[in-house]
Amino acid sequence: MEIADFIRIIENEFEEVAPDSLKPESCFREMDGWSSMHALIFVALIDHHYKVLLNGEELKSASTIEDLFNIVNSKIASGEIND
Amino acid sequence: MAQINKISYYLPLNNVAGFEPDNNIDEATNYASKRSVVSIDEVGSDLAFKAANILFNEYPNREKESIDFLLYSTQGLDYFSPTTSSVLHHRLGLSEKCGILDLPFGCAGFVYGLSVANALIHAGNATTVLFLLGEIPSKAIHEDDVDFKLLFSDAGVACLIESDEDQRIKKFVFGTDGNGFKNLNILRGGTRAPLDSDWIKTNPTLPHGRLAMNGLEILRFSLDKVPKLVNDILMKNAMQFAEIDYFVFHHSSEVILTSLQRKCAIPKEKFINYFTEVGNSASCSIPIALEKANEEGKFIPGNKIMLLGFGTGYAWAGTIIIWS
Repeated sequence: MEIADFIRIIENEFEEVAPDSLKPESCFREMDGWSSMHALIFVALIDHHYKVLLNGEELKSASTIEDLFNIVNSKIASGEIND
Repeated sequence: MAQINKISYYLPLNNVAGFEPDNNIDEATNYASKRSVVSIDEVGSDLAFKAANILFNEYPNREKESIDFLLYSTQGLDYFSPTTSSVLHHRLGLSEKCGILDLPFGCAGFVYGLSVANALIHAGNATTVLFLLGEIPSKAIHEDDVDFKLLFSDAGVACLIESDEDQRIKKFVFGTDGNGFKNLNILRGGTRAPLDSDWIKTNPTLPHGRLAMNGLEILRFSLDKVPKLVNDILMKNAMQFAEIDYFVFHHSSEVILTSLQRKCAIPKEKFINYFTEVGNSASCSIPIALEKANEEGKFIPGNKIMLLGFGTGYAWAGTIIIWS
């Protein structure tokens, strides 16, 4: 998968995020209106699109969109799929 | 053979919490816009009692004498002993020939209770079961836990389940993962961890313990287990996904409900969701959603409705009912 697709999915999900505003190096916790609820929406969104269920440790270890993308990719590569 | 003949509910909406969520909370989309909170001198059985009186008023031909079993689902029992169902039995003036049983269950409580009522009727041990539910999560919410205040509601429900020529309550699927108990609980206040003087000093507003939840783990559990449970219920009842007219899931949170709807590919018009109106009222959430949809005229006789409870325990249970 491409990181551009990953970013587009996130931008489409959150109304408060303007199209083409997120970059791989963007810190997702600095998105407008970020709250703990947004973390849950992120987890559900990634599960829906990539069948990968992130856990709390993985979420904590990530700062940027690219960090999240890399975790999702590594879980797919290791077969950790929640189908 | 059994069917649900009547559902009534009581929400203490005269006591909606009057607090302002902070600016970081997207109340309109992710939380309940209304929350019902019981008054300080009422408990869950009071809400169930009020719901039962609404049911009897709306269903005047139903004589209390004919009720031969009373079930009561709650996570807030009145006493350690006796059963709260015995207290409710007395308050409602039910027959001496009526059996009683408490189900201190939580999110899956309605489906579990329905299975017990169905079993009692199917085995010929009862013909008319009054299934009451009373939930008071507000009594265990710390004043700093704003997210919980916006999620949970207190409620009472009364449900009449009666024998019928047709089997309108289908087969059940159950499941448990006890390791999940640590992610949604009220640990203090029972025999293993009693409240002591230090607790009372530091938590004067929480004399029944404090509700704790790991929201991320509950979401992960739901996304993992519920889609599989949907398939298991269909397989057990030899039905196809497209045959189901409506899906009524436990109203855990708006994020979980909308995520499950999407993951299970349930069309929006088939997915019953009153979360923003009612919030999470634990075991009361499924019957309240059923009755609200009924009030809006959504259901017609013969509709196949999947009911699915999941959460604290972890415990989950599901079935399909045929609307009558």
